Amino acid sequence: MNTWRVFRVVFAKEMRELVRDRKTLFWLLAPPIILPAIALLAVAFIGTQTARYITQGFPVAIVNGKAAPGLVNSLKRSSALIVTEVSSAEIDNTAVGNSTALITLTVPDDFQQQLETGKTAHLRLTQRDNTFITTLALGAVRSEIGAYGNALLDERLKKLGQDRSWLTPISVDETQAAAAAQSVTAPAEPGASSNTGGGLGAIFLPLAVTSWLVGGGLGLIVDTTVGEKERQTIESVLVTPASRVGVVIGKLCAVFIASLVVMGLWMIEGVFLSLVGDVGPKLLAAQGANPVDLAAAVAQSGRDIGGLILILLLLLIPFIVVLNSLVMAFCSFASSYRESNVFLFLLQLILPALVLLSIFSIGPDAGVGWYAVPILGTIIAIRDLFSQTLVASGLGLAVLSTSLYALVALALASYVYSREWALVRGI
Amino acid sequence: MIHVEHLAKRFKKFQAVADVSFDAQDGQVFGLLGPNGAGKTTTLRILSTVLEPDRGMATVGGYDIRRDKAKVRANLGILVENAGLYKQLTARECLRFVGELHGLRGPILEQRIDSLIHDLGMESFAERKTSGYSRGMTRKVVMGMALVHNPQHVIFDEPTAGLDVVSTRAVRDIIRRFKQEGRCVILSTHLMDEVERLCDRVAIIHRGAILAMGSPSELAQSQGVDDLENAFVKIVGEQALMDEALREAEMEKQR
Repeated sequence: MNTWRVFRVVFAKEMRELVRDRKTLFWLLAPPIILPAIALLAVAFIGTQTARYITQGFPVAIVNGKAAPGLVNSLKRSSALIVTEVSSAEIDNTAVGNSTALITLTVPDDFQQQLETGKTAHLRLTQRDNTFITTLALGAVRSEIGAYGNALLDERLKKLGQDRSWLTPISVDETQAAAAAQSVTAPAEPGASSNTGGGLGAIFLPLAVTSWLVGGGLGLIVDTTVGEKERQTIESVLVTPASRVGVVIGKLCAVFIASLVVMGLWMIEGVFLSLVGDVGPKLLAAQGANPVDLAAAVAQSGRDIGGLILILLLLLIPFIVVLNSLVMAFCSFASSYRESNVFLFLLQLILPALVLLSIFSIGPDAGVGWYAVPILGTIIAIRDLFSQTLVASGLGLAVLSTSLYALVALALASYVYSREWALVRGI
Repeated sequence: MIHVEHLAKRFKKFQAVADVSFDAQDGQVFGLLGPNGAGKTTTLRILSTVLEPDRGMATVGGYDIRRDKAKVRANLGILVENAGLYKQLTARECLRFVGELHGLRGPILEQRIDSLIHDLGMESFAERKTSGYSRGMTRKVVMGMALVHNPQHVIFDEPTAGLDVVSTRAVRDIIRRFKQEGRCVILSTHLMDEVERLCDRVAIIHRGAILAMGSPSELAQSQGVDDLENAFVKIVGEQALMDEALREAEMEKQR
C-alpha cells in the first residue's frame, strides 16, 4: 500500500478524532481566544477611565498654594488638571485616600524665597493610591511642574547671559549599524519610521515560539504516539501492511495543522492589537485631519503587518515541523506518558532559554552563520525580523537551513516509528 | 499454513523465546498453551512481524516473516490481548480505518464491515463512539479490526479473557467457523477447557520452549492422565508454574 494513501487515511482519522474531542479542542483554542479577550477587556476598562480623566482633567489638590502663586496659576492653566486649593487643616481632616483628588501637592512656606535666592525649592507630591489612573495623574502633574521649572531655568540662564546649550556641553547622536534599508522589513520610504515591527516583536517573539508549547502540537503529538501505546491501539496499526512513513506523516500533518490554527489565532490577535497600537495614536492625534491621510496610515500599517506575518510564516512553518518531528521521534520511543514528560519538561525549559539567549547574549552583529544553527537560528531570525535587522540573505539561510532540519527531523521520526526497539516499549 | 522453526527472541538479558518450532495447518485450530510469561505472546508478535526474531525462521502462507513482511501482514489477522480502541471513533469507523490501512476501499470494504458487524453482533452499538464500551463490546470491535481484511491465517491471543458467557460463546463459534472455512487458526490461551473444546493440536510452551505437542487426548494419554489440565501440570511441573509469575515480571522489566 503506497505511502500517499496511508498518509490520507491516517490524516483523516487523526483529524476526525481531533475535531470530535471537545476537551482537547477547548484547551487548544481557548488560550488564544480567551486570554487576549480578557486583556482587551482590561485595556478597554482602563482606557475608558483614562479617557474620562483626560477629557475632564485629573483632580489635584494644592496645599498652601499661596506660597507659590506662579506655580498654581501655571497648573490651573493646564487642561489636563483640575486644581483645587485646600488648607492643610482640610487635608488633615480628610484622609488622602478618601479625597477626590488623585494627587496632593504640598507647597512649603519658603518656596518663593528659595526660588528668588537661586536655590532649589522643594515640593511634595502625595498619591492617593497606586492605581494606573493615579500614576497617569502623577505623570501629568510632574509634566506641568517640569514645564514651570524649565521656564524658571530659562529665566535664570537669561540673567546669566546663557541659554540651554550651556548646560549640555556634549551631545551624542546614536544610530544602529545594521542598515535598516537592507532589512526585509525596512520602511518603504527612506526616513519613514515604522514602529510596527517593535510592537509586534514584543508580542510575537515569545508567543511564536511558546504558543506551540502551550497549545499547539506538543500535547497532540504525545497523544498520537505515547497515547496510542497507553491505549493499546498501536499494535492494530503495526500489524497492517501500511507504510510507517505514511503513518508518521499523516499524524504529523494533523498536528501541524492544529499548530498552525493555534498560531494563526495568536497572529490575528497580535495583528489586531498592533493595528490598534500603531494606528490608534495617529487617529487620536489627527482630530479633524484629512480622512484620506488617516486611511493611508491604516493601509500602510496593514501592509507592514502583512509583510511581517508572511515572513514569520516562512520562518515558523519549517520550525514547527522540526519541533513536532523531534517530539514525535522521542514519544515513539517513550513507553509511557510519564517517560515522555521528562523529555517534554526539558523542551519546555530549553525553548524559553533559547529565546532569552537570543535576546541577551547573541548580538545582531554576531554573523549570518547563526541563522543556520538548529532551532536557535529561527529564534534569532524572528528577533531580528522585529528589530528590522534581518537581511534577505539571513532570512534565506534561516528558512533553507530550518527546512533541511525539518526533513532530517521527519526522517528521524519515521526511522524511530519503524523500529522495533522503540515501538514495542510499553506495549 | 503457519510454519515455525527454532524461533528465539531475547530482551536484554531475558530469553523470552528460546526454541519454538511447530506447524499450524489450514482448516485446523492450533493451541499454544502455557502459563503466563511462557513466551506465547512474544511468539505471536514475531509471527505478526511486530517483533523480529533473533534466530530461527517462520512463514505465514508461505511468506517469510523477515523478507515478506507486507505479505505476511496482509495474510494474517491477529487479535491482541488487551488491545484498545480509538475513543472518538465509532466501531464502524475503527473497522474502516484498519480496513483502509490494509488497502481495502469502497463497496468491498463497506460490505465487509457490514458483514463483520452482523457476524460479531455489533449492530446495536456500531454507530456509537467507542468511549464507554464494555470489555465485551471492545473485544468484538478489536476482533473485527483483526478480521476486516478477511485473512486466511488468524491468531487469537486470549480471545475470551474477561468476556461474559454469551460473548465467550460467540467468540468460540467464530473460531469453529473459521476452522470450517479452512482457515489456519492459532489460539493462545491458558484456559484448558477452551483448548480441549476448540483445538485440534496443542503445543505446551514453557520458558520459551515447546515441551510437548499433539492433540489434547494424545497429550493426556502420554502423561497417563485423563484430561489436559492434569497433563499440562505434569509436563510443566507445579513448582515451575509458580516460578512463571516471577519470570513474567522479569520480562516486563527487561522490555
